[in-house]
Amino acid sequence: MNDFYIGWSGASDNSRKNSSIFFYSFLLLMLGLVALFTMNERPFSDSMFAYGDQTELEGYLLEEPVISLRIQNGENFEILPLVGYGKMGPHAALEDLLGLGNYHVKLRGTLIAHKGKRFLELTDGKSSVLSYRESTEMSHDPKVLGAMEITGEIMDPKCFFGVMKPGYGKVHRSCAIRCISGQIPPVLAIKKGEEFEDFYFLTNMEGMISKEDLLSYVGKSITVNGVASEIDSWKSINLESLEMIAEIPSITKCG
Amino acid sequence: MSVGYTSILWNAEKKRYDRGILIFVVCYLVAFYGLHSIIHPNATFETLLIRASGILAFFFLHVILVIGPLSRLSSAFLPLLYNRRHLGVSMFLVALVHGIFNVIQFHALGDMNPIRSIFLSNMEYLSLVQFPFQVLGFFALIILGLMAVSSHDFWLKNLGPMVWKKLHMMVYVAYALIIFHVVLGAIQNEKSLLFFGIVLVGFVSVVSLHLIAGRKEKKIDEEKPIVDNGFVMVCKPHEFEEGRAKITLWGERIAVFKYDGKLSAVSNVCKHQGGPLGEGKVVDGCITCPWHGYQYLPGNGQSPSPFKEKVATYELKIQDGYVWVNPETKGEGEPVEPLNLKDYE
Repeated sequence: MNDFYIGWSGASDNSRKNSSIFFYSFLLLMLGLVALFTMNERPFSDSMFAYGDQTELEGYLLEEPVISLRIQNGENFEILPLVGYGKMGPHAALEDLLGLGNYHVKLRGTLIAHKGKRFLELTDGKSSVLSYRESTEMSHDPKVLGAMEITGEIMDPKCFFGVMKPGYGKVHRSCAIRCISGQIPPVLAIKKGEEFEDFYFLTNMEGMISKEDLLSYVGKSITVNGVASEIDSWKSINLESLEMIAEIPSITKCG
Repeated sequence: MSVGYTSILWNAEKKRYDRGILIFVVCYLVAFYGLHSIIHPNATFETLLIRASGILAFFFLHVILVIGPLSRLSSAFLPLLYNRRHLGVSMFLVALVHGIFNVIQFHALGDMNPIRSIFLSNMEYLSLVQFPFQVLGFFALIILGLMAVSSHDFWLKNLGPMVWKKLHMMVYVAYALIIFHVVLGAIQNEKSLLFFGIVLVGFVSVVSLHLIAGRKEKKIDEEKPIVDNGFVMVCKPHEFEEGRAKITLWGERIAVFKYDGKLSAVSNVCKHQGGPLGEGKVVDGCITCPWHGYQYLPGNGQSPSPFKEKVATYELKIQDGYVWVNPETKGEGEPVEPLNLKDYE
């Protein structure tokens, strides 16, 4: 108490000593918290978003089950679902092509990759379409997997497969809602154990669920019935019915 | 003290304090990014920036909130109190980084205005678990912004100490919003209960220190004063420490200071930010507030020229070997003849 502190008149040695003790105490506490936080926070996904590094790919433009680019790698084919810049679907970038015929296109965009699947973001909008020509090439017929009932969580695939870490859960929910609202196709993600391992694009949703309802269930569980099919490494399910389960899924590992 | 307004009031101590804040932030960021690069190499820069800024702002807010009660409990913390405004503004700037990057990351580049998206994307306002926690953070940031902008003495002077104080008490509303923002938000993505534990410890620390400091104040307030003929007993003359005050309560607290063998009584409440003048000291002939060093002449309660602050003054007397104070004030800045103790020896 005898060491009276008046800031504008300069501090005594004792005040300075006290201030130094407080500074180092708070710093030590903060650094300890950082260490605790870092060691205990949920691991980050090894997904990849090649931000700033665009790739050129050439292939057949698919419009079903979702707008995609089907490319050939040697003897194998790979489907890369297409998304737009930000939280938008690819529709604006491809508006000169969609619904107008079959096209072979050369696209430039940013790759998104996770769990052996890749997406292509058409980063530059219409400029992402480098060239296109009409094609007689037919799309590969999907393999019908049959009628099934599956339960999973509605996700925004652009973020889950690479743009965001984490791209799932409560924190990400608003972003996922915006992405799906912006026409990024929703994916039903199925857990195996603690991780999401199986993914289905939802198709034929018109008449089955309104956009508002769909958005309100993003990040939650639904059970759907329908006919599933597979083209290359991607599955989709053509909805015949769906049931919302208004429960919050347990937090899942983002492997 | 300053007679004019400058955009930022810096003196040697404040510069030293601000350097400390900067060093603290740099050390923190180096540790945060360094540890993540080792333990979580897959983490992205923007996610780390959002987390780092959120955690740092939350930590700073706790420090800001405990400085007040700590200073009430020990004068050793007064240097932290004197410079608290700069820490508050720093905290807001860090929180602003957190807010801006969150809006960009989670709400921008979509089919809706990002600010509207904060309120309209997740509409589950009736669910506790699914509650749109970002809305809480948004309102907390608005409050912290108002406080940061109005922290300048210009606003203190123009709004008046009462309004200014009420505005700055909103920090507790912001704190409550942020607690819910964290508990209903980021923590729900984590598996470890440790995070809940850390938030709980922080919250309990803030509440406990306020209660302990409040209890100390309450003790003073509960002391029943002895009143005789409208005068309130203070203590015996020899109980005063030179340059210090005894505080007595009758409606409001009155600080009776001893200096140069004389006694003078003034209101215990500093005109600047309501600091406890009675815990101050007479320095260079002036009663000096322990919070920010505002000064008043003991004989008339006026700040020395060119300053214009005035506090209420009170009449004193010695009777039956005790010092007594008349709780009816003479008015703010009204001269009152000091009680010369030599006359009673």
